[in-house]
Amino acid sequence: MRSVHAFLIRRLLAGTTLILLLAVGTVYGLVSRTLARQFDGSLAHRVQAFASLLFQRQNELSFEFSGELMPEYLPGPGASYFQLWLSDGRVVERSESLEALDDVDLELMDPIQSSPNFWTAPLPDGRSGRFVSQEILVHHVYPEEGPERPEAARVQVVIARGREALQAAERELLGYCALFACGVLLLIGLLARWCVRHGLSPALQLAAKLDEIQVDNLPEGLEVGELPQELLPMAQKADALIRRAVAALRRERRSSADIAHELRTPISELLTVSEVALRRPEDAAEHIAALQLVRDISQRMARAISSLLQLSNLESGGEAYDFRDLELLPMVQDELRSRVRLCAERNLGVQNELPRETPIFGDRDSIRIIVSNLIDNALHYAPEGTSIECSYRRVDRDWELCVTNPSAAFEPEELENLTQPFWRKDRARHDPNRFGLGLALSLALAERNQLALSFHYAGGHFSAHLRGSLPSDSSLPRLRLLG
Amino acid sequence: MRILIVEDSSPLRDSLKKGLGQEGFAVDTAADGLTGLDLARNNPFDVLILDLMLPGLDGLQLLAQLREKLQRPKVLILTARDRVEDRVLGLNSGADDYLVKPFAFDELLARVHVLVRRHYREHGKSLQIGQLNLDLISHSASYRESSLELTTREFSLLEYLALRRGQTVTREEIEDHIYGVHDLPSSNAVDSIICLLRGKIGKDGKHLIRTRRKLGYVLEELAP
Repeated sequence: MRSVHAFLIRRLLAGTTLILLLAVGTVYGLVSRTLARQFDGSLAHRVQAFASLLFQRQNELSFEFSGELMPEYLPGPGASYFQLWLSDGRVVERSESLEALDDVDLELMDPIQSSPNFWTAPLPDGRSGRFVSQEILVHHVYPEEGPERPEAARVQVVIARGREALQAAERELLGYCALFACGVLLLIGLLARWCVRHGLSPALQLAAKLDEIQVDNLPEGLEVGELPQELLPMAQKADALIRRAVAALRRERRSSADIAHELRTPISELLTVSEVALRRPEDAAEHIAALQLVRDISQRMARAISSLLQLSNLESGGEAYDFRDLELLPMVQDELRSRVRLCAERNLGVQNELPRETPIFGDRDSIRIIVSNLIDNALHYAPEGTSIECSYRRVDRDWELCVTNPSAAFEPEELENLTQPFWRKDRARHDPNRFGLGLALSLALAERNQLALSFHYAGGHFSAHLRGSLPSDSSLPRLRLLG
Repeated sequence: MRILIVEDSSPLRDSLKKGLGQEGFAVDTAADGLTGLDLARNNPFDVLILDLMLPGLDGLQLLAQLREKLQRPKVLILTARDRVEDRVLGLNSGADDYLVKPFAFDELLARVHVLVRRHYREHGKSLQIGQLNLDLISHSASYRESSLELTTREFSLLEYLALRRGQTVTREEIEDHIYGVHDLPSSNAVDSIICLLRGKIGKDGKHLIRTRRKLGYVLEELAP
């Protein structure tokens, strides 16, 4: 599992190391070049010093060198070397350190120039050395000017010096740079760790808050206090998720309690009817009556369980549907016709306001069940002596069936719970054959048919609205009905 | 003893009425809360068996309105609500017992017997008045260790007199406790049952169940 903490620290350290290496490398390169330049500069100065020691008098060249003043050219460890030639190749002078080595000459760079020319090569004693060569013009001391003055002698000078000091300085510089880089990296690592830890602490606090939430005791929402704006969207999503979960859990618990209650009552009936009958084993007529009652109760339970199974199948999506163009009017007429007796018993009127053309699209069986449940509910819950109304309207490709009945007032949350299994506005059982599953089934069927089923209450009337759309390739004529 | 069942499930209501009736109780029933409250207020029930989720008037509301009038029949709540908070609420609202559906009829019967005994401040399962012994559980009676063959109604009357032993009990009180609302006893039904009881008890019958002229009857222990 990836750790944001480790990821940020790794990336920060890698980036910082790269930048630091580049910076230290650049500094090292610049300083080392400067050191080399200074080293070469000191060699060039030595050439100039040698030039000041060369004199030409009466066609004689003299080199007033003193080993005591320049002991580095004496033989010994770490000795420097020089050699001077005339332009014809004759050697003017060699350092004592060079003399001490048998028949060894310094190498003369060709062509030699009047400006210093530097190179690196092994010294005659095998050490790594730095060489400089330059041609020096040695003028006659007297006369200083005039036509009689002889031509200046051209002396070629090569000076070689061991590079130990330069290399030591470079190594020391490299050591300091490495030490500096390591120190800075360590500091940056610690700083990055501190920053990342503090930067991520709100996320960890949020995680701890989420971790505290128990399924058995879900809060109404997520209390997180002040959060950085980067974490706010996550906290808001978590809060919304918790609220949805709480609502769903509450519905589930209520639904489970309702199911338990709905099953407890008929089981109590079965138990009591059978136990009371069994207390009078000699009474055959009573046993028969009890058995008939047990059969009726069992059938009622079977219907409830069948409805529950149907709902479960619908919710699991295992049903097959045959979607096609349909007419709603015949279905509504059939359902109303089958309830003429109920209307008469309850003295209910029916206003069927559906037009002649009522095109819809969906699965015939599903829509028939939905329509049946909506009309059945309206007829059962409308007060006696009132009337219900069925209407259809269509705007472009959108259609709507509306079933309205006078009703007691519904609170908004009651409207939300209407499609919960076994939910009843009045918790008492007015009619043992009504289980409170019809609207739950209808909603599940509507969703499978991509229809919208909603409920409203206004002005003393409860209304159920089934909405859908005709597909663009529907064979039905496009028409526009208003109202 | 007289019981009112307020229950909206008709199979359950009818079966309970039948079962408790067979046990010698005078049982009345109501299918909704308002009818139940009306019956409970106007009749001297010993025990009220009350469902909570009722049409018209909720069981707890019925109980609250009943207790407002200081009417004290023992109340047994019989409901499918099984949560602890429901039981606590029911008992705190004035119920004397709480039984969750589904239940065994024998358990209900035992609880009803307990409530009846508590109603008359009796603590044993039998009543002993001198040589007369009544088993309130098995509904059997004996006198001088000889078993008495009593009908349900006879036992109910004897039980009521025994529970109120030493007190003069009017004919109306007896009728109220051994007959339901829909039973229509004849004007001398109580006198007839008393007569039968005395006959079954034997020569001590008249002395055990004494007549208080124009007042009623009293069950008293015979002097040794």
